Amino acid sequence: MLLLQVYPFITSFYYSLTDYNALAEPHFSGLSNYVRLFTKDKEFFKSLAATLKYTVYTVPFKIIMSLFIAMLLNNSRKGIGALRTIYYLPSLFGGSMAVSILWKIMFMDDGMINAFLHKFGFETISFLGNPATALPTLSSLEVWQFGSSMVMFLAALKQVPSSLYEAAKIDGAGKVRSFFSITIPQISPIIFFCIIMQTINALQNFTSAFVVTQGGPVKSTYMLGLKLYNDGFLYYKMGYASATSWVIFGLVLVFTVTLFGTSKFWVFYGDED
Amino acid sequence: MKRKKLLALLVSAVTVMSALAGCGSNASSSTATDTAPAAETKTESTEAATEEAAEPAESSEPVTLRFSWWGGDARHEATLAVIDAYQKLHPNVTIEPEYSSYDGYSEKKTTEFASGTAPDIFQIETGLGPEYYNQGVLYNLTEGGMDFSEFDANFLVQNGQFGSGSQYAMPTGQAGTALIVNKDLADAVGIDLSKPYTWDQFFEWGKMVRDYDKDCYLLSANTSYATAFILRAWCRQMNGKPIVDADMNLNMTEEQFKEAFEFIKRLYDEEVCAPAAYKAPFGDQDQEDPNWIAGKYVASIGYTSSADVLSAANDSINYMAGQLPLRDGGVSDGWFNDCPQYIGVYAKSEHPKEAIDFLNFFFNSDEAAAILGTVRSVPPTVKAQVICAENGVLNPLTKESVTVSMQYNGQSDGGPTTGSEVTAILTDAYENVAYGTLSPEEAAAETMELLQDYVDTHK
Amino acid sequence: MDKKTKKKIRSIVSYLVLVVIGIIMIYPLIWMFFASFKTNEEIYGSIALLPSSYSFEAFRNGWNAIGGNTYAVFFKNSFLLVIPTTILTVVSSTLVAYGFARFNFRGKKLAFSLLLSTLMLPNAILIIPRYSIFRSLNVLDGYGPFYLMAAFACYPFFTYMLVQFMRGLPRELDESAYIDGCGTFRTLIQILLPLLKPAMFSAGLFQFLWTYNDYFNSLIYINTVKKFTVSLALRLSLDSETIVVWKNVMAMSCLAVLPVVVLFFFCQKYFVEGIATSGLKG
Repeated sequence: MLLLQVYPFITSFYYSLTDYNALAEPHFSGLSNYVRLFTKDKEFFKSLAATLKYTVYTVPFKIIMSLFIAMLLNNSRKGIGALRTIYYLPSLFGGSMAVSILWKIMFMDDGMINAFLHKFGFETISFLGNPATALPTLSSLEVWQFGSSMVMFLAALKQVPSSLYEAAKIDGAGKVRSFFSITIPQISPIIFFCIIMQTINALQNFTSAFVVTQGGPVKSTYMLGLKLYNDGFLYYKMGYASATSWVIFGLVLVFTVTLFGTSKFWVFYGDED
Repeated sequence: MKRKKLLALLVSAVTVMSALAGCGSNASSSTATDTAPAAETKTESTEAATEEAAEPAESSEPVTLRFSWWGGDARHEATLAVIDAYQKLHPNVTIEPEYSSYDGYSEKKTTEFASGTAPDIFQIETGLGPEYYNQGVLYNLTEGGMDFSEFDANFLVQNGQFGSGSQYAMPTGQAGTALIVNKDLADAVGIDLSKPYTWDQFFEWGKMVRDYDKDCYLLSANTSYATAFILRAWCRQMNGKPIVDADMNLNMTEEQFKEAFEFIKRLYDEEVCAPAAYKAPFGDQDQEDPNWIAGKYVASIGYTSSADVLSAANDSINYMAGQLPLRDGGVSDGWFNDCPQYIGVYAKSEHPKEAIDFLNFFFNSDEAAAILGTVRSVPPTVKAQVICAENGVLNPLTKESVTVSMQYNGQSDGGPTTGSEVTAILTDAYENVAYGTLSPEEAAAETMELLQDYVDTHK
Repeated sequence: MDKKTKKKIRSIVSYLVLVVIGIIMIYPLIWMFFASFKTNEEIYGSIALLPSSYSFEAFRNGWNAIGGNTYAVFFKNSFLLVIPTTILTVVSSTLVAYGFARFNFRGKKLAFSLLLSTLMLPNAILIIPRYSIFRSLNVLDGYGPFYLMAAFACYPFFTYMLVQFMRGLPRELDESAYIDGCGTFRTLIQILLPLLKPAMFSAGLFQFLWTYNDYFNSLIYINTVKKFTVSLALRLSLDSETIVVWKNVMAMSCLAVLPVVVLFFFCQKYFVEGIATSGLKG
C-alpha cells in the first residue's frame, strides 16, 4: 500500500518541483511551476473559478436531492425496489460515450429541452454553446447521477435503530422533529462523508467536462481537472500539471480541515460517549 | 506489536522501492550502452541491409511485435487483415494488434514513453509528429532500411522527416483541407465554388445565402477546424510562414494577429459562418449538426478525410469539392496537402528490423494496398492509389477533394504550429473572438503573450 | 379526516412524487434505448421518442465487434476484472477500516491523514508513477494492476467510507463481545460484519460499478484487444473520420448497463435489511 499509494503521491510532489515532461528525465526547477501558476497563468484562475462554481452548483443539490429521495425510498412498499433501481439507473452509466451524446442531443438548439421550453413560449437557449449556461448544464448531468450518495444514505438510514423512532413517538415528537433530532444526527457521519467525497470529486472533476464539452465553449467548463490532464498528457508539461494538482490538493485540504473542524459540532459518532 | 509491524512494512517498502529505483537505473543504463554500439553497426550495415530489406529477416526466430493504432471499424478490420496477411508470409512473426478509438490514445502513448513500454509500431497524430521526433521516441527509418521507392520524394521530405533529412515516420496517406459543398444549395443561391475566388467574394456569397434563406449559412465552421483552416490559412496567406516555425520563431506580430482576428470577427458579424454557440455542442462533428443533415449549409470546411462522413449524413444531396478561398495579393495561397497521420517505429523497439520489414509490406505491397483501400485516407503512393481506383474503393468525393487540395502549393504548417499547445492557444483566441468575449485587439494581445511565452520556454 | 386517511394520503403523495421525479430522471435513458432503433439522421434530426421502425439489427451488429471479438468476450473480461477486484477491495478495506475505527496505535492520526491525503490528489497525476511501478512488477497488459490495488486497500475512498460506517456503531458492542471472550478477529466477523452488511454491499456495488465503467485506467493498463473490457469496447469504433453508427453504440451501452442493473436490483435487499431488524439498542 505504501508502494502503490504513497510512492506515486510523493513522486508527484517531486515532479511538481521539476520541468518533467513525461518523456525526458526531470530537472529540478524549484518553485517555478507554482510561481508561474499564480503569476503568469491567467487560464489557471479562470479554471479555478469554473471549478469552484461547479462545486457550488453540484454538491449541495446532489446531497439534498439524494437525502430527500433516500428518505422517500426508505420503506418497503410494493414496487419500491424497482423505483430504487430507476433512481440509481442514471449513475450506472457513468461517464460513458452514450451519456455524453445523450446530453448533447437533449440540450442542443433543436433538442428536446428547447422543444419543451418552446411550448411555454421561451426562446431557444444554446445550453452547451453559451459560455454562461454551459457550466450549469454540465452540472445538471452531475446532479442527475446522484445515485451513489443515495445508496449510501439508504445504507445509513438502515443503520438507525428503529427503537429510537419509537421512543420519540412516545415522547410525542412529529415526523419533522424526529427527522432533525434523530435521523440527521444518526446518519451524520455519512452525511459528513458524502459532503467531503462529493466536494473532492467536484474539485477534481474531469470526466463530465472531458466527455461532453472538452472544456468549451470559450473555456467556460475548462475545470482544473481537465486543465492539468491536458497540460500533462497533451502539452507534455507533467511537472506543471503536478503543481496544479498539488494546488487542488491544497484546496481540498483547506476545505476538509475546515469541515473536520466543524464536525465536532454536528457529527455524532456511535463510538463516542 | 502493531508498531513493529508498521516499521517492518516501512522497511520492506523502502527496500522494494530502492530496489525498483535500482532496477530502473540499471535498465536504462544498460539499454543506453546496448543501443550505442547497435546504432553504429546499423549505420555500417545500412547499405548492405537496404538490398535485403524487402526480404524477410533472415533468422526465423519467433519475434513478437506490438502495433497500435486508433480508428473506426473499417480501419480496424482492414489493418487486422493486413497483419494476418503478413503473418502468413512470415510465420515466425507475431504482431499483437492494439487498437482503440482516439480517446486517450495519445495519453496512453505519453505514459508508455515515460516508462519505455511503447509498442514497436504505432500510428501518430500528424500534429504530434514533430513533438515525438524532438523527444527522440522515433526510430530512424532511413537508417533502418525502409524502402521508399514507391513514394514521391518531395512528399516524404514534407511529411515525416521533420527537417532532419532522414525519414522518422511514414505518412499514411494524402490529406489536405477540403471544402465540401452542397451543390444543390450552391446552385440554387447562384454560387460557383468550382473556380478560384477571394475572401471578399466569400463575404458577398455569405450575404447572398442569408438573403436567400434566413435558415441557411454559407459555412458550417466548427471552431477547431476553423482555427486550422481559416485562421491559420489566412495568416499563412498573409506572410507566407507558419505562425511558429521549427526553430521556435514567432512569425506574427500583434498587429497582424489583430488584423486576422478582425477578419474572423467579420465572418461572424456578417453571418458568413453559423453562430459559434449553435455549433459548439457538435464539437468537430459537423455531420451531426441537424442543419447540415437538412442541407442548410452551402459548405463545410475540414479535412479531406471528412468528405466521406459529411456526404454520408444526407445522401439525397449532391456534393462537390470546392475551391478554397484566396487572399488578394497574398504571398502564398496558404493551402497545402499533407498526411492524415503517420506510422512510426519506437526508438526503443527490440526488433526494429522486423518492424521495418512489416512497414515495407504495409506501405509497398500490392496485397496490403488492396486490403487497406482508403481506411487512412487516399493512399500515399501512386501505386496504391491505382489499386484502390481499380477496386473502386476510392470515394470519388474524397479523391476529388484531395485533387483540389493538391493543386495548391503552400508549405505545410506541420511543426510547433500544429502541435497541441499552439493549437489550443489559437483555438481559444478564435473562440473568444467568435463569441465576442474578447475584441480582436484583446485577443491579439493575449495570443501574442501566450505564444511568446511558449516560444521562450521551448527554445 | 382521521389519522389513518391522513397517513394514507401522505403515503400516496410521496409515492406520486417518487414516480413523477423518477420518470423525469429516466426519460433520457428511455430515449437512449429507443435510439438503438434509429438511424443517425433520426437521432440528430428529430426529437420524437419512438423510432420510425423497429429492428434489432443494431444489437446484432454491435454485438459482433471487430476482429472476431464479440461482446461475449468483452463481458467475460469485464467480469474477470471486476469480480476479483470488488471482492479484494471489500475485504482489504474492511480490515484496514476496522484497524482505524477500533484501535488506537501510535501514528494513527498521521496514517489516517495520509490515507485521506491520497484521496485529495487528482488521479491523472498518479498515473505515470503508478504505471512505472506496475511495469517493474511485470503486471502490465492485464488485470494485475487492479487486483493489486484492490488487495492492498489502495482505494482509500472505501476504507474511509467503512471507517465512517463503523464509527456509527456503538463501541459497547465490541466490549460485550470481548467480555464474552471473543478475540478481535471474531468480534469483527461475528459482531460487526453483520451490522456492516449494508455498508459493505454499497462499497462492493460502487467498486463493481466504477471498475466496470472505468475507461482511462483500463485503457492505460490493458493493451491487447482480446483482453478489453466492455467499457473499452464501447469506444472501440468511435472515430471522427469514419461514420459512427450511433444506434450500435446506444444498443451496446444499454446492454452494457444490464449486469449492473441486475446486480443492484438483487443487492438492494441487503441495504433494506439492516440494523433495524437486528434489535440493537441505541
